[in-house]
Parts: sequence; structure tokens; C-alpha cells
Amino acid sequence: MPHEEKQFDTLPPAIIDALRELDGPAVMPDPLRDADVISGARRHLAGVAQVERKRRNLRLFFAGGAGGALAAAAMIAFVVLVWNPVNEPMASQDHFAATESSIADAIDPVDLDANGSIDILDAYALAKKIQQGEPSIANDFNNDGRIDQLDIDLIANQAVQLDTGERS
Amino acid sequence: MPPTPANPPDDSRSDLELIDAVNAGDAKAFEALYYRHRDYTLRIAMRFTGERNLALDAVQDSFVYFYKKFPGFTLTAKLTTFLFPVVKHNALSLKQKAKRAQGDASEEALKSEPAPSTDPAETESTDDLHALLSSLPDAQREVLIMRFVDGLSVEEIAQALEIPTGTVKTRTHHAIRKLRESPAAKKFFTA
Repeated sequence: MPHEEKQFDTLPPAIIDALRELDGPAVMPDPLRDADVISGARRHLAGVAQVERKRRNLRLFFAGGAGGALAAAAMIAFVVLVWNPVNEPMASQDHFAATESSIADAIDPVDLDANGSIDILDAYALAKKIQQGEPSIANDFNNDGRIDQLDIDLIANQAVQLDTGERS
Repeated sequence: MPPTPANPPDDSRSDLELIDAVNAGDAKAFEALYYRHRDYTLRIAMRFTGERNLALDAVQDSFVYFYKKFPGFTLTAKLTTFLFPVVKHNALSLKQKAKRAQGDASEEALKSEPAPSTDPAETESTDDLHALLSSLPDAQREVLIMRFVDGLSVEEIAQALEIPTGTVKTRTHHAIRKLRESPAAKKFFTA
């Protein structure tokens, strides 16, 4: 180490002692002030933790819930708009399915396949009904006077809605 | 050193790890940081206020400022380097306020440093060594204390004081030269 740099690392011990004495004795802390700082920090950080939890849930929703809904809606749109009707099942089966869905409509207009739960198959069933020109007025879920893609999206969204973990 | 009244919780995590935890809302991690750095910041505050209650106020204000930095606080140097200018600023502000409130009459009572000796070279007692060190300009004495009492590196002092490292070296150099040239201190350099 160059000579001129040494002065930044060493000083005679007697002078360091004198500097330390000049700096004064250690200050006795105050437990009440400690408690004030700690409780203030706890209050502030409780808010931080809450915001962090909300952010995490929002990230999960966008990564999973909303993404899933969009994917489902896109898949249904593909089925309705692009799928070739030549590949449709036999007429008798169609008739059976239409009858079944009419019964289901009477029970729960959203549970189109009447399997007891609202899932992505209901969205698919509505898409199929629209394609075949057999939608029921009960399927106008958004009440805009038309039965279209928006109604399919509504079911798809409901089908993939995340469980928020909240219990009443 | 007097006994610490509060029992600081032990935490083996580094400052950086604790800061990451506080950023996620962990109050216990902040508590660990507080107790780890409380005594150091109290010493800094006492250095600039010279009065215990003012020093305690300055430290409290500094840690309130610190926890309000969360979430999103990023440590780019040592935590002591971050805390030093905060505590110094708060301590000097509080000292100014106290001076204004109490008037000039009590100004002397707030001073922590003894008055410089009129001629420190004439005697060789410890008191005279104190007087010699007190006679150094505040800026020079400050870097000496930070370097040799607080144990900070030249770079850390520069960051804490927000001055170039060259300035820290110049101040240290001038201070040591004065000590070397003083009859009260030069014997320690030759020993």
C-alpha cells in the first residue's frame, strides 16, 4: 500500500482513545421511545402487508382467472365462427341434445347441460345453440335483447371465476 | 457502557435479508434492524446534538422516516451509510429548533464539545489532546471520528456525507498533518 494511503487506515491508539472520549459516552436508550418506533412501524407495515396480499391476489387473478376466461371465450368463438358444420353429429343426436337443453333451460337457464354445475360446457352448449339457431330468450344473460358472443363470454367468465378464499 | 434497558431480539439475517422481509410487510424484521442500529444512531445523534433527549428524538424521527420508506426501499450501500445523513440532518434540525426555543443564553449548554484550547501545544496532558482534537475544524474532526471510531471506510464516509472520496482523503490528510505537527500529539506518532 502506498505510504500516503496508510494514513487513512492507522492512527496512534492514544489519539483514537481521545477521539472516542471526545465523542462522548454511550447514550442510554429509552424503552418508551423504542416501543413508539416499533408500534408505529407495526401499524405502517400492517398496511404494507395488506396491500401486498391484494397485489398478489390481483396477480393471481390476471394470471389465472382472467386469462382462463379469455382463453375459454376465444375457444368458444373459434368453435362458433370457424368450425365447419359438416362435422356436426347426427340429426337425431342433435335433436336429443336440443330437447335436453330445453329441459335444462327450464331448471336453470345458465346450467345449459343440466349437469348441476355451471362450467365451460355450458358456454359450449350455448355456442352450439346459437350456431344451430335455437337459442332461447332465457339465454339472454346480459339482457341486451340479443343472444350472442357476449352471453357466451358471461358464462365462460362465471365458469372460470376464481375462489377468493373468503368464507362468510 | 451502560446496560441496555430493552432486550433486543436476536436475528441472524443480514441487513439486506431483513430489508427484503420488511418490504414484504414483516414487522419483526424491522424490529431486528431497529435494535441492531439503535445504539450506533444514538451515538451519531448525540455527537450532533450534545443532549440526550434531543438525540433520542433525532433517532426516533430517523427510524420513522426509515420505516415509511417501505415498501420499495432498496439498500445500495451499508445501512449505517444510509442512516448516518438521516440522523445527522434530524439531529442538527432539532438542535437548531432547541436553540431558537431557548434563546442564546442556553446555547452554550447545548454544546457537547469542549471549547478549543487557546494554545494546545503548550501542554502534553490528555486534556490537551482533547483540546487539540476539538480545535480541528468540525469537518476534519468528523471524518476522523467516522474513520477511526465508527470504523467506516473512506468510501462509506463519502457516501454518508455525500461528498467525493477525494474530499474525505483531503480532510483526513489535513487533520492528521495538524496532529503530527502539534507538540501535544506528535509523540504518539513517533512512538
